[in-house]
Amino acid sequence: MSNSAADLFDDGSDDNRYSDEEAVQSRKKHLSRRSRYSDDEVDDEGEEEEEEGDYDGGGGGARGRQRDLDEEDEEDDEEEEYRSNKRSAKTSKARRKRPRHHNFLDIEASVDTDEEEEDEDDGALNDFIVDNEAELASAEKDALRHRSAMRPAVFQDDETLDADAIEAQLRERYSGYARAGRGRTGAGVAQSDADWIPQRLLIPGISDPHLWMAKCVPGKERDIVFGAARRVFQWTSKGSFPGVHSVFSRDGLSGYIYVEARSLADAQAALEGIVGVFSHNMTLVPIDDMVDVVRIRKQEARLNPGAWVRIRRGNYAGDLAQVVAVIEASESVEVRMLPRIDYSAEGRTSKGSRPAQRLFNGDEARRFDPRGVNARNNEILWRGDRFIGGYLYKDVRITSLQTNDVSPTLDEIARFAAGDAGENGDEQAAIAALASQAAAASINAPKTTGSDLQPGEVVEVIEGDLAGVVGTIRSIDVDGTIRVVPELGGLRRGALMGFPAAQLRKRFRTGDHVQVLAGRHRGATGMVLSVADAVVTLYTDVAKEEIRVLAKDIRISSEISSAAAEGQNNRIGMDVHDLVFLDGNKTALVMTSSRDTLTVLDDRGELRKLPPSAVRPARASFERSGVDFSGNAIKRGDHVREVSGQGRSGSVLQVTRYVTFVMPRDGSSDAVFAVRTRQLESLSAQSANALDPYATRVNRTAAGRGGGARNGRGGGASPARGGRIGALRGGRDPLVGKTVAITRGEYKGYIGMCKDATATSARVELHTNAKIINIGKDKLSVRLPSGESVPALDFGSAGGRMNSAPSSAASGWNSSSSAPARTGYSSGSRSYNTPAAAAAAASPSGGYGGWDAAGSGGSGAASGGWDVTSPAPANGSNSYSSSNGASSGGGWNAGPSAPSGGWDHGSGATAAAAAAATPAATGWDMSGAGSVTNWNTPAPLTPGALPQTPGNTYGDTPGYYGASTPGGDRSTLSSDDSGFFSWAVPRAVVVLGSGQRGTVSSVSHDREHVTVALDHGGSETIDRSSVARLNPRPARAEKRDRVIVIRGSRRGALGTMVGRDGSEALFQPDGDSSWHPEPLRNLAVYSESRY
Amino acid sequence: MFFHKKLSHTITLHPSFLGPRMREFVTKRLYQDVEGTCTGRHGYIVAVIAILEIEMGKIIPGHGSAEFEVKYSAILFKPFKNEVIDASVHTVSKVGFFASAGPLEIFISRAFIPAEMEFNPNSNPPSYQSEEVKIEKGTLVRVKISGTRIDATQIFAIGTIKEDYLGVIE
Repeated sequence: MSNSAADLFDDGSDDNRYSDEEAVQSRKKHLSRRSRYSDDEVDDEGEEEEEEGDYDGGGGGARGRQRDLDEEDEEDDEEEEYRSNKRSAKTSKARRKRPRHHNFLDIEASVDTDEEEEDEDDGALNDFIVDNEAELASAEKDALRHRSAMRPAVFQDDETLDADAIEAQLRERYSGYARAGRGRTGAGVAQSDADWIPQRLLIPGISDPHLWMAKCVPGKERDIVFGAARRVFQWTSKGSFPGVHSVFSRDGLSGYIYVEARSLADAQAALEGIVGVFSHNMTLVPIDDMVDVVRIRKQEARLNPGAWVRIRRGNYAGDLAQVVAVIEASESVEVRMLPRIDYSAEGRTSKGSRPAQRLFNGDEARRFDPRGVNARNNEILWRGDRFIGGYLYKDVRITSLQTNDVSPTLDEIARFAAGDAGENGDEQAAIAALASQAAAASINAPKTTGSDLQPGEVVEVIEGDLAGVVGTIRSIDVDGTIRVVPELGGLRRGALMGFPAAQLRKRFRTGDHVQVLAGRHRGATGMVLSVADAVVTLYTDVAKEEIRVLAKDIRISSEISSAAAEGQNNRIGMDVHDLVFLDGNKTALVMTSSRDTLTVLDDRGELRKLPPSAVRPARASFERSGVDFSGNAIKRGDHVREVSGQGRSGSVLQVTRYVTFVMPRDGSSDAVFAVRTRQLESLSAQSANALDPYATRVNRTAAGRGGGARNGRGGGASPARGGRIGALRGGRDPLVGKTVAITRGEYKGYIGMCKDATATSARVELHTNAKIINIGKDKLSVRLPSGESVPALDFGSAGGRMNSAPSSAASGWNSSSSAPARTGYSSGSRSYNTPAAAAAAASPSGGYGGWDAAGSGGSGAASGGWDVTSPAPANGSNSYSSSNGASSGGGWNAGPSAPSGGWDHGSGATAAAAAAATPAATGWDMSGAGSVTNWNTPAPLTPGALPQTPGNTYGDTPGYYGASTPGGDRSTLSSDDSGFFSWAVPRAVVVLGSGQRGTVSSVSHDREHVTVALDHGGSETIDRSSVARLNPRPARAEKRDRVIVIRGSRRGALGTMVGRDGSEALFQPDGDSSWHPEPLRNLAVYSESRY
Repeated sequence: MFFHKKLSHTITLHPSFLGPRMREFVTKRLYQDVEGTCTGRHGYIVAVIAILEIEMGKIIPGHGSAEFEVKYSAILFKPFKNEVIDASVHTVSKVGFFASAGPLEIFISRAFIPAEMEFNPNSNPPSYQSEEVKIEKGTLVRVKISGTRIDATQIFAIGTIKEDYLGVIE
């Protein structure tokens, strides 16, 4: 614009009027918002339309509507046209000197002398202002065309008006047309204005012109439309309105012409006599379908020159082709491809076999068909086909091309590039050029999978002024513009620059670790070895081979995987170095794994290529082991040496009972060999880790058991389930080795592997950073292979570990007991997993004895003696067993061999001793929280001080008699505790065995009689004879209860229980601001109220 | 490149070791645990130089094991891109050869071997040969590292000998 303005000044500096016009122009400048170029395009189209069919109708209507909707834009248009006109007008200075008056004819003549129609149209322009609906469209259309001529007049007129006034004037002038335009045309408008107006307003109605369809000779559509246009134009020029709004055909629909007209007669009149159309038989298009007729279906992928396509059908089916040109206004494209020609064949090649893809060879063609070859320039015509540079050039309909998911392989491109590379053979460059061309084309195409480019990637500009600039992608706009932060050159730091994707290429450097995103090697990862333009050579991580891929198909990644791993997650365990089963349960090791073949090393050391379906992955859920030459166990990862043969050594990749796959230490993957497990000698066994706690444990256990069950699980599967408690103690926690997720706390969300576990806590090795943390089991959930999660505390309760329970419960519990059996011990209890201290005592009567399987019948004996391997007082068990008449077994098991439970046995043993010493019959379960343990004691048999009541479930109160201070409590209990009478104090709240609650109201001086006022009224006097029956015990204190200390050093102190920590209560004596830990059992609720 | 760095490591001792020779156990365990390991951050821990401090152990509640935080100094080996390093060839194949520099394995692709060196599969052992030099198993080469990949337990590198002053060391 400024250029033209300058020109104007230069040309007519002597003429004031030019500067006047400039002033007007600058005054109007603020109105102009659209770029001139786009406007010119729009206008050109409009003019083209008019020239093609110069009749009143759709085109004009469309304009009118557009104006109505966007008057400002329209004005800009006019403004621009005005300016461009000035540009053209500068050549004819005469015009400038014209007096200012409305002489349209003169203006026309002076400006556009080459257009004859314009003169004729001036008739319409003369009654330009007439507000006649029927003629407005025509007037408006003319106005459009002649605006250029008219506008100077406007400004000449209104030189004194300011821009606002002009705008108002223009608004007024054209708003009428817009209204006139609406309602007169329907479908035609929808087509051009779909972007501007809500669609529903554009649907044609019954008041709009109808659409008629006529058949015609296929291929003649355009001619017919032009013919009709001429005819309509003729009518218009004669001044009669034709009644036809538009005539059109559709490119995709040959053999049909559409006429938009008010009546059938009008439509027929427009086509009558035109050759090739059957106007007598026209069909009315239903109103509902009118929109569909003119709807332009969005092409799924617009093809751009350079894009890759595949031929769908025919001799070239599946072949790669490259779009050379898009043929406008038809649904065909020109493609080039590698010809498949059988030069010797006469005419068409036979169907069965098709010749290989080869560049066209002119000499050969001449040899077979010397006269058939027509060469001009570099183009050869042969048998009706066109060949340029050896490629076959062909116009192909888009419908017979595959345009999506073409994904040419590098091989294909390389083959394709052979022709371009030519003799000098710079194949690499040709490939690169082709690839970038194709990449650019595919990126340009809208609605492809989107660009391969992602924010954060480093790209290089490959075309344009800034070629060579390297930058990082910051963002990608909706329209596909890629915002790049340039990194090199003198460009301002932090500046964002927009590029079309076509101009960018991902940039990689040697040593980058990348993953392949598409193509044959999709999913593979590797390190960049070299980069040659668009082709990158990788050294893959898993397959250890070099592959070549296109830069657009890879992305920086830190992952490591093989091409096979991608998309084959269902094929678990088919990765490299996994163990698989072949037919007949032969084992083999996966050596390489690609999409459709596996290479396996079988047990005879032979490499075999197999389809993945031919093998069965071995379960990886447990650790296989084998026994070596000298009887030591071999595990994966152990260092082994061949005993015989070549004496090869290496580390074990996979081991089974029979065959072991060994990777030599210094060898690469293909040096792996298979060898009989027995023929190996473990080097690891000799230097067994003396610091491994498990190793030592096994040793100790083995020794302690006197060579008994090796597996440390008590009695193992022996029917005499002496191992009941052993199983309970000795086994590994089922959690060990499992994948667990942390559900609460600091590490919430982390996943790890449980390395070790106790009743309440576990040591978890986090996957993320290989760190081992200690964490409460309550914060863990176990991830099962099925994907489920089970809270860690419940884990194992339903598992196979429990299999010992039923039999032992049956034989152990009940058989020896003449007393009401302790049924209801839930065999599914978690107590197996916990270091529960089961303590028991037999009543003197013996009827209650033998609750423990160990003590009952021969089971304990059959187990070969339960050694007390722990530091627990052995006499505890002795005394227990001796007191238990039913027991013929030698002692019961106090000894968990698991060091993890190193403390629990103590409690059991001591308690047993204690309990045995007193005539109290009791048992308790000290399993952890959440236990479902629930045993029903038949009745309080002794006046024991132990809080035992029928039906009372101790499972709810884990840790009440907590396990953390085992033994000690119990011994205190037994010595200190001479029963209810020792602790009963007035106002202490007690609970009787019957469940009644009461408060001690008085204690006799000799502490032989205690009166308890029951909450429900009445009172009980408890003495030595009734204590056993009533079984009073202190009511359990809760937080914030008033409590009195009934035992221990603070005995008698009054205070408040401020909290609880396991079995300890936090006791705050009255008048003391601090609190002290006090065993919970030392406290009784203190009732404030008098009774 | 080699580094001398102070690091710390937590050692968990089973209760059975909590006795008079505890320090010895901790020390032994430390050597066992860290020497020869590889982390992405520090590279290979080649050798523990000194144990600077063994902090007071903490018993893990409910478990009985004790945790000791040990501070030590060690020699680390971490390869960097563009570092020039001497390595010994251990495998030669048609795609290139592997050389090892201590625990580090370096792959030198054929693309990074000077063009005048040709693969000779018939020689025993297989080798890359030019008129003057020969690269076969056991040859010492000077390699420039052109990229590293750091796994949890090992570092892998690719390198080049296609530059001045690189290649076989006499």
